[in-house]
Amino acid sequence: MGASERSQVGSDVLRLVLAIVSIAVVSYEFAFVHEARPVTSIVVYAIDVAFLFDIWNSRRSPSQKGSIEGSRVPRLALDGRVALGIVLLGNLPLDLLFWFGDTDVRGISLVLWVRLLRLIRIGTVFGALRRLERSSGSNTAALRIVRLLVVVGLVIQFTTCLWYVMPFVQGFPADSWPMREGIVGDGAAYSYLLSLYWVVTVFTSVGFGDIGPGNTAEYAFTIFTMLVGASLFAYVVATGASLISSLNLSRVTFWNRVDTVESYLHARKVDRTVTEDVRRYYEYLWDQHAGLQQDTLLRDLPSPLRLAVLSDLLKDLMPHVPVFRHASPALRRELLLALEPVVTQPGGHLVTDGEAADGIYFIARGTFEVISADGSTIHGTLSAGDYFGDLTLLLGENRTATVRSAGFSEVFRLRSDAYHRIRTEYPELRDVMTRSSQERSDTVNRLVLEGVVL
Amino acid sequence: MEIATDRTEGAAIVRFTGRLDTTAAPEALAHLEALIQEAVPLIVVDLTAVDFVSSAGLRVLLATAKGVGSSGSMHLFGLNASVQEVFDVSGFSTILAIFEDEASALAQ
Repeated sequence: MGASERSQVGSDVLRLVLAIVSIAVVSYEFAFVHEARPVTSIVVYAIDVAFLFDIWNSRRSPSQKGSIEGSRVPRLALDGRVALGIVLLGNLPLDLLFWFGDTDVRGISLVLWVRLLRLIRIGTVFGALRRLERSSGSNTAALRIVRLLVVVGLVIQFTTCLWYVMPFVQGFPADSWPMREGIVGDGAAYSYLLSLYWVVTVFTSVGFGDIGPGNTAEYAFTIFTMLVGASLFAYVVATGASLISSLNLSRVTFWNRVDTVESYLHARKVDRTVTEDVRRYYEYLWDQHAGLQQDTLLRDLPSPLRLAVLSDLLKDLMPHVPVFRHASPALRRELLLALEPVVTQPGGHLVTDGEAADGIYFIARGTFEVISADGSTIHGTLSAGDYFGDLTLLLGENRTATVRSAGFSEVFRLRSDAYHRIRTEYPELRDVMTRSSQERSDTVNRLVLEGVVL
Repeated sequence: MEIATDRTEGAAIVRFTGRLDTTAAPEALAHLEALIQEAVPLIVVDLTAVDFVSSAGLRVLLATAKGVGSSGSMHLFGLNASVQEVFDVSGFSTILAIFEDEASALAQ
């Protein structure tokens, strides 16, 4: 993640927090306090200033993505001006117009009624969450949990406020729940707590019954709340299940693919030992390479990116390959792009007796046996740091032995055409190969004496 | 493949002409082994007129170097560019004594 992306994520986190705080404060004050208090007003206006600056900033540099405005326009698919109008409506402190000469409407300050326009910031909350999920990379699951908490929190907050403000605007009828509970006139915080308690008991289907509906409106609202609670519960369960399954998504996908391959081999009556070898290969691929085949993974990347990924992927293997150690950065770059990673399974033949030279093989991991064509004679072993194929390549001869992998092994192949091309473009390759040859075991030289040419 | 041998005091200069390949290798090896049997202290191999060395030719040279052991030595000179590259890249140039020309091969 680059610096600009980090600052973008930071801005979105800030937008998310400020929007949630302002929504919570505005709804709480509206439902439980009923009048605009100076301290909360300062908080609300300070957040307004921050959002207005954000809107101004995003319009000044339209290329900057992630403004609260930018998040809304495509989502609502509205004309730019209409969208901007809605955004401004939710962020301009219009309630200031009513601050002096404030009147009550249904017992609630007009300032707070106008302030409800800040709830438009719900769009900002989800816009920020959407962008954070896009830029989060591997933390998507964590952000989905955040989204879940935000949704649940907002629904609970609004239901809590409605449960109390509904009897309030009716003038607290005698059969309303606050009257029956005797909390009218108690502090806003206590009323909020009881209201929240009721909402949570209904949402969670606990339903102690100590607080309940007492009149038609409350019964209707209770039915509504139960339905919302059931939907919310379903949403939480579905998101949770989806999260748990997505945590293992790559593993499940990989092994499903392996199962498909195995089923195919079984259906085509392929020898069981071969099928088992295939299974073992995939197990190795999963353990060592997270189930990814490097060549497939890298094929679609442009050269500079492929180079960067390869350098990082192979940083543990490169020190074992002398040609990498001795090459200049430019040559190393060229080799990295030209070398093909090859994985061999136990007993697999890397090259076979009689084959024409196809390139040089650099062993990065594992051990190989050099055997006769029929496998009856073992001429020697090659291990990490060794390489072969240079003699047949330079002499234009066919191989006179087979190289068999003892276990799972990793090798880099430099194809003949790539060798000759790089040899022409980078004359230093010859010196690099000469220096590398001094580091390999004398097995290859001894093999030549025995008539084995690889 | 033509093989000629010049003798100087304490040294035998073997001059190969042609291709040192599978066909020529047995004859070349027999010739060099005969010199080892004679316990010639220094065998100098002239590859100036050799345009190709196959793996069989390499085997002859390696076997001779091994055969002379610590009692004698084998020096090579006159490698052309492609032969030199085979020797360098394969690492044989570090285990075989290779010289620029006849004089330096004899002088060592």
